[in-house]
Amino acid sequence: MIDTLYVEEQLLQHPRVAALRSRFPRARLIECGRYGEILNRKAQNFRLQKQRPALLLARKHERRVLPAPAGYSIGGGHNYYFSHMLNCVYDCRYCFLQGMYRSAHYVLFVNYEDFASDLAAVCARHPGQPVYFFSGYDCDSLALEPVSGFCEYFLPQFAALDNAWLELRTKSTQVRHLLERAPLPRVVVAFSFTPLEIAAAVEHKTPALERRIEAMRKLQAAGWPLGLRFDPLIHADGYQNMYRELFAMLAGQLRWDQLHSVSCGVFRMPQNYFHNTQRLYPREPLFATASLRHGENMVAYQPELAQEMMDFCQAELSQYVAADRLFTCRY
Amino acid sequence: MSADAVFLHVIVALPCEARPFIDHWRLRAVTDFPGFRCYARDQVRLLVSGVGKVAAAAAVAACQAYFRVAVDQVWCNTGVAGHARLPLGSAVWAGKIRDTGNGQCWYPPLLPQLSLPVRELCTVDTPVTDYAGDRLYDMEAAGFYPTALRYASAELVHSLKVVSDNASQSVAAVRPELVENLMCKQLPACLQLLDALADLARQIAPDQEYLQLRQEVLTGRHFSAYQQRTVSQLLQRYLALGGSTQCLRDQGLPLADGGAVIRWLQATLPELGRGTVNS
Repeated sequence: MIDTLYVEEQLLQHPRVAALRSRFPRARLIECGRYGEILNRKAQNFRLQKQRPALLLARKHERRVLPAPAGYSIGGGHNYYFSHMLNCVYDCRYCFLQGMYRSAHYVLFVNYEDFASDLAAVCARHPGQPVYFFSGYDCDSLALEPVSGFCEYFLPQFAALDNAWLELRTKSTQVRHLLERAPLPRVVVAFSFTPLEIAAAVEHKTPALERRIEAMRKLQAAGWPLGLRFDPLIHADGYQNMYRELFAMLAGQLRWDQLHSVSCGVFRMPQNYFHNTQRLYPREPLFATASLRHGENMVAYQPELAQEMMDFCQAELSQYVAADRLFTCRY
Repeated sequence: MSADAVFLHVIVALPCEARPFIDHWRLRAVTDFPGFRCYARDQVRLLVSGVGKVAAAAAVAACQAYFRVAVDQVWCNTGVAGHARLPLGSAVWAGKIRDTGNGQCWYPPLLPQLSLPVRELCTVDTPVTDYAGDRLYDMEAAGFYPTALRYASAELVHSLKVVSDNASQSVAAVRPELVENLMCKQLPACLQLLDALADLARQIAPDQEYLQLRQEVLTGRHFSAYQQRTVSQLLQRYLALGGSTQCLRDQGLPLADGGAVIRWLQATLPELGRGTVNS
C-alpha cells in the first residue's frame, strides 16, 4: 500500500514512526528535513502522484488547531478544525485538496500529544460552552485509521474534554475501532454521500454507497451519533431525481430521528485551486460546465442554480429530519 | 522504443558512460551542437556534459535550447558514483539529491513499480574517498536536477547511478574501460527506468485532439491575445463536455471572423449539458 516513506530526520526515533516503519517493512525510507521540502515543491504533478502516493511522517510545529471557515457549522458557535493528516486516500474530482497541494503524498503528523494539548487549550478558552472540532477538513478522518491510529489516540482525549465535540467526516468504512469501543455522545461520525450516478462520475477509489450505509447502520446500532453530509451537492441534468432517490434510500436504511445532524452545500472551490485542478484534468466536465460562475475568489454554481439546488435538497431533506438538525454550508 | 511523442534526454558526464547508450540506440553525433558532445536518434537525445554540477546544469539548458524541448519530457542523469559498501556495478536510484556545497536537497518522486535500490545521492565538488553514511557520491546530479525541473515535472526527472568505487576500490582506480563495462551491465536497469518515465510522460502529454482543433481555429483568422486565451478555454470546455469535433468543423470553423467563432462556442456550451452527469 505504501511504497515510500519519507520521515523527518528529527522523528526517526519517534515511537509512532517506529511503529509505522515496522508496518511497512518493505517501503523505501528516505529522510528529509521538513515535510514542506517535499509537499510544497514546485514542478510536481498531483495527478501522477495520486496513482501511488508516498507517506510523509512529520511534526506539525504550529497552527495545529484553527478556526473553521465561516459557514462551517453543525449547530455550535465555536468551530475549529485540525488536521492530523494532509491529503486523502480517495480521489474525488470536486475536492479542493487536489488544487491546494502540489503533491498528492499523504502527510501524517505524528505529534498527536501536541494536538491534544492545543485542543484542550482551545476548550479552556470557552468554558461551559460547546466547542466543535472538525477533523476531516484536509483528509478523510477514518480512511487511514489502521495506519494512523487517529481515533485510537484522540477519542479518549475528546472523552476527557467536557465541552468538546468532534466531527469525524468520512467516506470510509473503517469503523472497526469505533465499533470496538463504547460510543461517545459528543463524537459525531459524519458520512458524505453523492447520488450513485454522480459518484460514479466524480468519486474515485471510494467505498460503494451500500458499504458506507452498512457501516453507518452498524455504528447507529452501536449507539454512535451520526451525521449525513451532502456537501458538495453536484449538479447534473435530472439532479432532482438523483438526490430524491439518494435521500429516500438513506431514509429507508437509517434511523433519521436519531441522526445528530444533516448538512448540505453546493459545489464551490477557491478560484486558484479550481484553476490548478482544471489544469490537471482538462477533460473533466465538472470544471467545464456552463453552470459555473467564476467569482472574484470562488468558483461556484450560478447563484440562481445554487439556490435552486439548495432549496430543492432542503425541502426534500426536511421530510426526514427536523429543521433544527438540518444545516447548510454557506460561503 | 515506442515513445510516441515522448522524448528521452540522457545526461552523462563522461564519454565512457555514454558509449553503452550510443551503441544500444545507435545514436549519431549531432555535429553542430554547440559546447557539448551530443548524440541523438529518433526520440532520444544524449549529452556528455563533462564533470561537475555546473557542467551538468549547462548541458541540460543547452539541450533544451538546441532541441526546443517541450515541457514534461523525460530527463535522466546517469553515470558512475561512489558508495562506502555497495559492490561495484550496483545500480542505485536517487531518492534524495543533496548539494553538499549549499545543503540544498531535492526528492525525486519514486515510481512504485520499479524495484531498484534507493539511496541519498550527494553531489560533491571534488572526488571523495571517505564515503560517509549510506550515501552515494557523484559530481553532477545537484546541477542536473534543479535545471531539468525547469522543463519537466519532478516525476519525469531522475538520476540513476552505477557504483564504480567504494571503500575497497578507490576512485583513483576507476578507468574508462571499467566505467563502460559497469554502465553496459546496468543498461537494462537504465532502460527500464526510462521506459517507465516515458509511460508517465505520456499520461500527462498535451491533448492532441485539443491542440489540433485549436490550430484549426486559430489558422486564417485574426484573434487578439485576449481572444486567443478565450477561444482556447472555450475549446477545452467544449471537448470536456463531449462536444463533437465534426460539429465544430461543420458549424464553427466556416465562420470567418474570430469573434464569431467565440460567440458560436459560447452559445453552444450551455447546450452540451449543464451538469456533470447527463441523463
